[in-house]
Amino acid sequence: MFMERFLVNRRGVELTVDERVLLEDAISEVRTVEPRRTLVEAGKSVSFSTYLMEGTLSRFIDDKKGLRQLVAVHVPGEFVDLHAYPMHQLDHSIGSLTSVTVAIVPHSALEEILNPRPELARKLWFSTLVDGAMHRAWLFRVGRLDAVGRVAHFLCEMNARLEAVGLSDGRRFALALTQSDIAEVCGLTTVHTNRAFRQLREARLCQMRASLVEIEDPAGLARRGDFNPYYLYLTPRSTALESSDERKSAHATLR
Amino acid sequence: MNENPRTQPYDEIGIATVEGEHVLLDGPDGVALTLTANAAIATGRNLLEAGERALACTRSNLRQVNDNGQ
Repeated sequence: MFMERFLVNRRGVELTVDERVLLEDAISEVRTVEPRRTLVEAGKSVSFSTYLMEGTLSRFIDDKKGLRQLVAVHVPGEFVDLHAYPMHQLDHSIGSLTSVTVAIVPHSALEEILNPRPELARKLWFSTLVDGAMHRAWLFRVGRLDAVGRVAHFLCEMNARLEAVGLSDGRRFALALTQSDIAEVCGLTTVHTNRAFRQLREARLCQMRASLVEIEDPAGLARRGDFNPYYLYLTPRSTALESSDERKSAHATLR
Repeated sequence: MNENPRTQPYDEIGIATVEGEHVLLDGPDGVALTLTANAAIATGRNLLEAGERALACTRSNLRQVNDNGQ
């Protein structure tokens, strides 16, 4: 049961049992990696894709001074670099933010199982397209939102993604990221991020204590972050977040 | 087709506040900067001077329009 979270609660693309078994059989190795390690370096040839089972991974790009921008954060149940299969190398690096357990899937094994199965290939394609949708949402976040809005949007997104794989109850979830990590995600300084968290707490929207995020007002937080989960292509669910008017309307539009 | 107002210059002001030893500039739009005190003072002076020059340019253009209209 390595891939029971992959594509779970994503609209119309959940894996069949046979497909999941095929993908799990393609795993060549399961590794545990310590926090703050680079798993794949940008520009290097890569012959496998990495599936995240436990922990938090990032995709990052360092500038010429070595200053880092996190360009994606991955939660359990996601392939981090499935796009490396057709591209053979990455334009970004992959690093562990926490201790992680990853499954390594060689591209040769992927080719073997995908060539005769276009429907499974379409589902993996969907997974990389959701990555692209998230990148667009991240562009929107850093290009259009103020500091508080950026943090609110990021927390809403993490909550929705973690809820989809059963790691959030819709209001509370563990997020083992530092405020410095969140600053790098949101294109802010740590000073700005710190204040944004204080403002969200004072507005009784959410708070983060000891890596636990608690959302007091999911609909209010979504409004503050201009967050609409439609880009995550999640299956509508009757959970706490579902009570958010924004989410209801997003799902209604997409049904 | 109307031009996107977000690609036009902003008529809203940025809000500068103090957070410990730093100055935070929020807005307009997605601007979110943190500056040291010295950088904030120097940036403020630069903005003031540039704003005065742009205002002078606006006045000059208005005078020219008025002169041509007479």
